[in-house]
Amino acid sequence: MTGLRFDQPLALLALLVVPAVMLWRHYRGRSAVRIVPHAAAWASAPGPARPPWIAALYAACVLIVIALARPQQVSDDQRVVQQGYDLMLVVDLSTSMLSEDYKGAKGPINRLETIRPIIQQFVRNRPGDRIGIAVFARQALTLAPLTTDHGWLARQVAALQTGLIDDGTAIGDGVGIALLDIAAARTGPPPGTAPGSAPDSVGAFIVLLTDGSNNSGELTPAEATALARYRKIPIYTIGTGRNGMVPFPVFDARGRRVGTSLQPSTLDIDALETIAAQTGGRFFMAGDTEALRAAFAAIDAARKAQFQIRRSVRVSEFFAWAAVPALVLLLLAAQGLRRGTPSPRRPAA
Amino acid sequence: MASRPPVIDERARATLRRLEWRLRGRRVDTSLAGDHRSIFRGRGIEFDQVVRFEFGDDIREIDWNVTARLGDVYRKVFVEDREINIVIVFADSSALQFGSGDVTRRDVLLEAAALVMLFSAANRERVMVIRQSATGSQIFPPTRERARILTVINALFAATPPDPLAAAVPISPIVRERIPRGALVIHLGDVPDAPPPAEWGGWQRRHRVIGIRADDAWDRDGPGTGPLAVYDPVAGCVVELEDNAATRANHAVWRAAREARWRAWWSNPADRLVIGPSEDALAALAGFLRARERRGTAARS
Repeated sequence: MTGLRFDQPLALLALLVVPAVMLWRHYRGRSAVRIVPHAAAWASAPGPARPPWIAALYAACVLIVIALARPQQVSDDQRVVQQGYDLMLVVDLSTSMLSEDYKGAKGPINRLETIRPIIQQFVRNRPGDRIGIAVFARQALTLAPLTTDHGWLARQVAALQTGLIDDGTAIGDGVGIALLDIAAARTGPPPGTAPGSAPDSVGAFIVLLTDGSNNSGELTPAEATALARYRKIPIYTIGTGRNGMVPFPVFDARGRRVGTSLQPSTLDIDALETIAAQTGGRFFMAGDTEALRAAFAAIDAARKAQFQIRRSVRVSEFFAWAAVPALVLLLLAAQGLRRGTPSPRRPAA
Repeated sequence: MASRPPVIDERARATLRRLEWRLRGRRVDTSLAGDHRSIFRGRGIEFDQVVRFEFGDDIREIDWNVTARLGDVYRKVFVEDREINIVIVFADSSALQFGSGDVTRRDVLLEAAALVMLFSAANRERVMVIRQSATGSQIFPPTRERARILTVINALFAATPPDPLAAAVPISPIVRERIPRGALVIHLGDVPDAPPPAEWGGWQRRHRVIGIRADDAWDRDGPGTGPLAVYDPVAGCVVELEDNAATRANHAVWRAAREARWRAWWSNPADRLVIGPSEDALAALAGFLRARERRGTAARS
C-alpha cells in the first residue's frame, strides 16, 4: 500500500470547528450600520474592512488540525511470505451419511449436517492453507480444487449434499483424487491464481471423512494408501457415526420423508486405522459431535503452519509541512491582532 | 360612470390633512395667489415692456435691439400666463434617505412636493408628476382635478423608497419624458453628482426649471460624531466616520464642490431653493415664492 494517509484521521473532525466558528462570527457580527449618503467623501479613513489576520488565524487553525492528524506518505514494501499446508478434505457423500445418529440442538441430525459446520469452522481456522474438497460415493470427484479463497470454499461446503453421485463408497478413489489435486497444485498454479501468489507449501495432508467401507471405485484403499505414502502425504481419517443399527430416514417415491427405519452401519475402522497409520496420519473415531469436533481440533493442532510475514513499510511524516506554516500564520495573526487592538489613550493633562 | 374614490394611504392621508390645515392657517389661497391665478411665475408669451437688466435676470430675455439702441442692457418682460403647466420631477434616489434628525431629506422633499401640488390644486393648475428612480420613471399625467392631485400625492407618499443597498444609479434632472411645452418644471431631489451636460442649457431654454433640495444638518455641518461605521449608498461602501480635522476638511471640500455643482445646474438664484435643516418646508417654499413674486414685481416696475 502506497499513498498519503493520516495517522490520526479522527483529528480531522476538529476541522468542523472552523466553519462553525466562521458561521458564529458571521451571524454574531451582524450589527446595524447607519446609512449616510456621501459619507465616503467625508471619511478620513477607509471602512472597517475584514482584518486579514482573521483569515490567517483560520488558515492556521486548519493547518494545525491537519498537522495533528499527522499526514504521512506510506511506501509499503511489504513482502509477505506466507506458508501453509495444502490439505484436501475428502468427504463421503454416500446415502449412509443421512443416518441420524448425531444429536443436535433440536434432536437427532444426520452425519452430513453434523460435519458441515465443523468443516467450515476448520477452514476458517486455517486461513493460510490452501484447502480443497474432494467428494466420493460410487465415484470420486473434485468439488473444490486447492484454493486460498476460503469464503468460496465455505459456500461449497454449505452446498454439500448426498445424491450428487451414485450411491456407494469409493474410499480409494476419493483419496486418489485428493492426491491428484495436490500434485496438480504443486506442479503449477491453480486456475484463477496469479503465478507467484500461491503460498509456498510446507507440506500437504488429507483429511478423510467416511462412515462406511470401501465398496466401489477403481483404487482400493490399500493402493491409495501406498500412493500417499509414496508421496509422503499423511492421511488423517475420521470415522463418523456409530457401528450397528442406526436410525435412517425413509422417503417415498416423491422424495418426501415418511418415517425412520433402523439400518446397519458398517464402518471399516480397521481400514481407516491402516490408512492413517501407514501414511503417518491419525485415526479418529467420531461417534458424536464433540468427538468429531475434537478430531478436527486435533488435526488442526497437529498440522499448524508457521507464517513468516516480513513487512518493510516506510513512513514519511509531513507533520512539519503543516505545522511550520501554521506557526508562521499564527505569528502573523498575533501581530495583526496587536495592531488592530486600540491602545488605551493617555488621559489629557 | 361614477368616479371611484381615490384609495388614500393612511400615512399620506395624515400628511395631507396636516398640510391642508397649515395651508389654510396661512391663508395661502389669498395672500400668495395675488391677482393671478398662478402663484408660479412662468415665462409668458405676451410682451409687456422692456426693463433695465439686473444681475440675476435671465439673459435669454435680453432685448438686443433696445440694448443696442440705448447703449445699456435691457430685457423684455412678458405678461405671465394665467394658467401654466407645472411638472413636478421627484428624483427619488437613495441619497435622499438620510436624516440625522427626525425626518429624512426624502420626507422634507415629499412634503415640499405635496405643498406645491396643493398650491397648484388651489389655483387649478395643471400638474404633472414624474417620479424618477433607479428602476425607471413613474409618470402621473397632467391634471387639474383636486381629487386626482390628492391621489397622486398619496401615490407619491406610498411609493416604495429605493433600496439603499442597491447599486446607486445617477438620476439626471433632464427629463426624457414628454412634458407640456413651456411648462414650469420643479425638480426635487439631491444635488446631481456630475456637472450639467451641454444639453442642459438647451433644455432650460425650453422649460423654466426650478431646483429644490433639502439639506440635512450633517450636510451643512458635518457628522460631528464618531467613530461611527456607516454605509454610503452613493459610493456603495462602508466607511468609518471620525470626528477629527481630516473629516471636517474632507466635508468642507465636499460641501464646496456640491454647492458649485448646485449653482452650475441652477445658476439663477431665483430658480433654486434649499430647504435647510430644521427649516419648515412650507415656510421655505412660501418665502421662495414671495421672493420670486417680488423679483417679478420689481422687474415689471
